[in-house]
Amino acid sequence: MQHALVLQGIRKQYHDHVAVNELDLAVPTGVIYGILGPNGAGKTTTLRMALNIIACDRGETRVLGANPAQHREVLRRVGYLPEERGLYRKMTVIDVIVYFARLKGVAPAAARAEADRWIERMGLGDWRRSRVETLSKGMQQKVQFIATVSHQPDLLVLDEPTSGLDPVNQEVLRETMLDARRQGRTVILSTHNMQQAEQLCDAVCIIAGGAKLLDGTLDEIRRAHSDHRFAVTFEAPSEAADTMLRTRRGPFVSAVRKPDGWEFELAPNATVHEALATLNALEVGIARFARVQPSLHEIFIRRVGRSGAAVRRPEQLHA
Amino acid sequence: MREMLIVFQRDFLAHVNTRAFIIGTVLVPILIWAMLFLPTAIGSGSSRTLALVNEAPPSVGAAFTRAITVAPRTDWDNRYSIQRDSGSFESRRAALNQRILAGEIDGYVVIPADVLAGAKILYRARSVSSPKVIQELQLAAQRAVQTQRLSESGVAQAAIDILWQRVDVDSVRVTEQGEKPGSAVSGFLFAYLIAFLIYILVIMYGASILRSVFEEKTNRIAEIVVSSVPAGRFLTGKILGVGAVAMLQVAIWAAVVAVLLGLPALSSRMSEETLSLLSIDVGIVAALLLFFVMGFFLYAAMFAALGAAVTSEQEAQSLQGLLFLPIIVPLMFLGAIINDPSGRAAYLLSLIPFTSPVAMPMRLATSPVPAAELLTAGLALAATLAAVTWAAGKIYRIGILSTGKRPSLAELYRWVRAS
Repeated sequence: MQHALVLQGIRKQYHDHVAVNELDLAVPTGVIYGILGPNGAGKTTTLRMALNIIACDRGETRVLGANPAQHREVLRRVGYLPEERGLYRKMTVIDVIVYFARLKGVAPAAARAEADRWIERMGLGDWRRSRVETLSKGMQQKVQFIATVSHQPDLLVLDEPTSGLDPVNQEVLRETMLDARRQGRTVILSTHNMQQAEQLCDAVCIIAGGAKLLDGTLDEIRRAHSDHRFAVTFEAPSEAADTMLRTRRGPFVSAVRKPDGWEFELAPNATVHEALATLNALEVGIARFARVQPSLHEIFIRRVGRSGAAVRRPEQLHA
Repeated sequence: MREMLIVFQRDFLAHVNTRAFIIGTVLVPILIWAMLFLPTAIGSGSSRTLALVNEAPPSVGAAFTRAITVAPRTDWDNRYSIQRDSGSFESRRAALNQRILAGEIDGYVVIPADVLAGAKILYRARSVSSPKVIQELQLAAQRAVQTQRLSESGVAQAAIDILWQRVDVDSVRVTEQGEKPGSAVSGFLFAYLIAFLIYILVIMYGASILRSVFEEKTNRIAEIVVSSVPAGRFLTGKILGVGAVAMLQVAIWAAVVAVLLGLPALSSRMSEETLSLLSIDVGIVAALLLFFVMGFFLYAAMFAALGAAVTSEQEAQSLQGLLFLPIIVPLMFLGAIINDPSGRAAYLLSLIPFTSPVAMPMRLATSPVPAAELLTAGLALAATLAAVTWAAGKIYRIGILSTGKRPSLAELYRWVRAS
């Protein structure tokens, strides 16, 4: 499988604090990949090391197939939007976008044409020749985003990209990420927003305390965390079944009433077959029986812990 | 290289399109004009009206009056008019002090009766701060007393007049290229001008580079830039861009001076010293430029590193003074360097890379410097420039992302060693 980013055993230590510890990561090409983690988990340090903005103490990084420390030209194919943003305040909107595109190797005329296209798309046409310092914070965010994408990078690395954007522009950003994926480009998204990650990402990695807790596709992760929770809907109301679930008899260790039936958890040693057999013995018709998959938010809370402290159990779900 | 050029272009335009550049470009030629023409236009000599109480023989008072009221030789000399006051000092003291306070006279001189035996003359005035006035009064009194002594020894007045005839010094520098005109004043002025120029440019543009790097650090622009361009290359492009603005400014100033010199109406009004300091050897100009340019970039790199390392503007302001120190040291030794351009102070300061950009031009302006010394100093400066630029790039790469407390020297060393 082709990978847009591969990190092997990277480590970064500041004094006696280990920011990132022996982290392995493999981001397939052509996906939207989420890097999730609590504050101070090491997400930004990981991205900075990946792009050779800071050097790793140990380990190897490969961006689009090349080591960026030895082949810096590969970074021209990367667009990076850092969490803390900034622009040259005295420059005009068009000039600052063209400047960053030119640093990525785009010819001046092409950079200008692409910048104009994005300025129109983001509704900044009236501010094209305005100085950045005269724009609102939200508009500056848009300019920053354009500067990240206008050179059409093969790999987009976005650190908390939606912070500061209004809902309309969050939608533009979402479309841009989906567009990039459709065109075979890769998007790496560092975020706290689990709902956004769940809607957009094909695969995610959760980092805490500088170490990877888990990674994989969303399906793989959900399956791995579904435990013994199931949902059942009966064809007709059944007093006997309701009593059994409410009193947690048989293989059922917990159960919650839902509008369309019950959601329950089986004892660790109980099987699905055993549960179905128990319900069938009550002669109740089963309309639906399905495994309940947890949301990313639930998985995150469960693995990272409510306090944000990592519960480390390294797993590698995809190569 | 291409990325460096783009950074160079941006920083050049960003610094040229500022009010500070326009104001500096206009203001400094005005200052140069003032330095070139004002001394001859205004002069620094002033007129003083002094009362004279002469308790010595009348001929001493007459000789003093003659000597002090002689026509000034230059615009720098003071002019005096003397009002003879009869009576003794003690009887006239209160009245004379009153006249000073009323503004009728600027001061008064008392020649005591025993002046021929070595007593001091007295000078009383509202201000006695001018060493030049004291020197002129002392010379006139000495002339009067010595004339009286010679006269009392039987020397004829005609012989005394011949004795006092002035002797001037015609100074010419002997160089490998032959004899070169130039007075002590021209050498001093030229050395001072060069030192002043480097000092001004380092202050103006060093602070400008520091601000620019600090802005990129606080605005987090640097993180995006460094994800595209290696820190060292980015910093070099930036320093070259700002440096080019400084060089452009100097070129404009030089052009203005050249135009002024081309105008006969103006050049004819310049003093002899001013004109002689402008006739400089091409080789010396080349060496001067080399030291000037390398020195400028050395300090620019240090200011850039400081901008990346500090965490607040107040910190930057308090620390940038430390970087000015090495430039100020040669200015403190200006007198020693001009007095003995081959002396120990001049030699050492022109070899140390952090002081040589100022000290070597000062030496070059005043006397020939051996080629071996020039080469050693030049190579030492070039090597230091390369090392400091390299270290600045390292500090920049780590410094731009660091926040919190200011790094210690040990930490800076670790930053430089980190890859």
